[in-house]
Amino acid sequence: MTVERVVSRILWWGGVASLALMLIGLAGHAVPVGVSSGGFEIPRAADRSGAATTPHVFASVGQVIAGLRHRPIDPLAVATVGLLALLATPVAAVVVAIPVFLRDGDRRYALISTVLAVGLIGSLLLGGAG
Amino acid sequence: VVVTLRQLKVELPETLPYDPLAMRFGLEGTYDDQRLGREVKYRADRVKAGVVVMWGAGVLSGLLGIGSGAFKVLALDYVMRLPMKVSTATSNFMIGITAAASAAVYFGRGDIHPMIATPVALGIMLGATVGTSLIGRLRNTTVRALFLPVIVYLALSMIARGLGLVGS
Repeated sequence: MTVERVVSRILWWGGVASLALMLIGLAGHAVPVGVSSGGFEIPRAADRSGAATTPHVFASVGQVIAGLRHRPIDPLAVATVGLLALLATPVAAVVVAIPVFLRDGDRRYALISTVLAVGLIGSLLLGGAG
Repeated sequence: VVVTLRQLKVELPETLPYDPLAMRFGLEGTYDDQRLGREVKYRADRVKAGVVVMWGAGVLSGLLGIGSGAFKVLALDYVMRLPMKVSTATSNFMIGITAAASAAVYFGRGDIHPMIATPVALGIMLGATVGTSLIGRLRNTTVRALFLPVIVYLALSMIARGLGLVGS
């Protein structure tokens, strides 16, 4: 399989899976809350220290995991997993492209992809998604 | 806008250009053009100039709060002389990569609200699916004609923001 085909499949299925999670989470939140109630007010999500100021928004992976472990499961945590998956999809495409380039003997693009992947993963971790 | 108008009737670059950097990095490829019914070969031209224009586009979009996707298309189409369909697809992919890096920062600040982001993502994905299925059936000149009003709007919007006529 060519690198283009591999990247294309990762982007497509990553997008579809992310969207499914977001829709499940949003539906799970909307059904009990109702679209006309205060549950759809959108306050600022977190203060500058990163502490969430509202239960509707997550500002770290730890908060998302806590929402998933909560019983009943916080549906917006599920939606946020979808958002994180959407963020991670292009990064995954770059990471997976590295061994495919190496398999094809294209060390130059394997190196470029590695540099790009390191930068992207660094951004994700430093940006707070980790 | 001017450069897009000048290119409006150009379906494909007339020749396969020779740029040393493009040759060195293998910035070339082929795509199956459904509309033309043949495989189209392409190779990037003026790579250094393309890098400079994209850097400038990044600075401008950062200063004026306007997405740099349209500028990427301009740089790829006009400066690097790639087919319009290749330019739009490449720009789309580049946006995904760069947006992932910056979105992580917004997520860490708690600025991404799932109840807002989900409908937005849904709309964009549905629109992108329609767009990508359509692009194969359109001519490069049609894609460029569709791009023209977008770049006109962006130009007017940048002028207005630069002059402080509207808020950023």
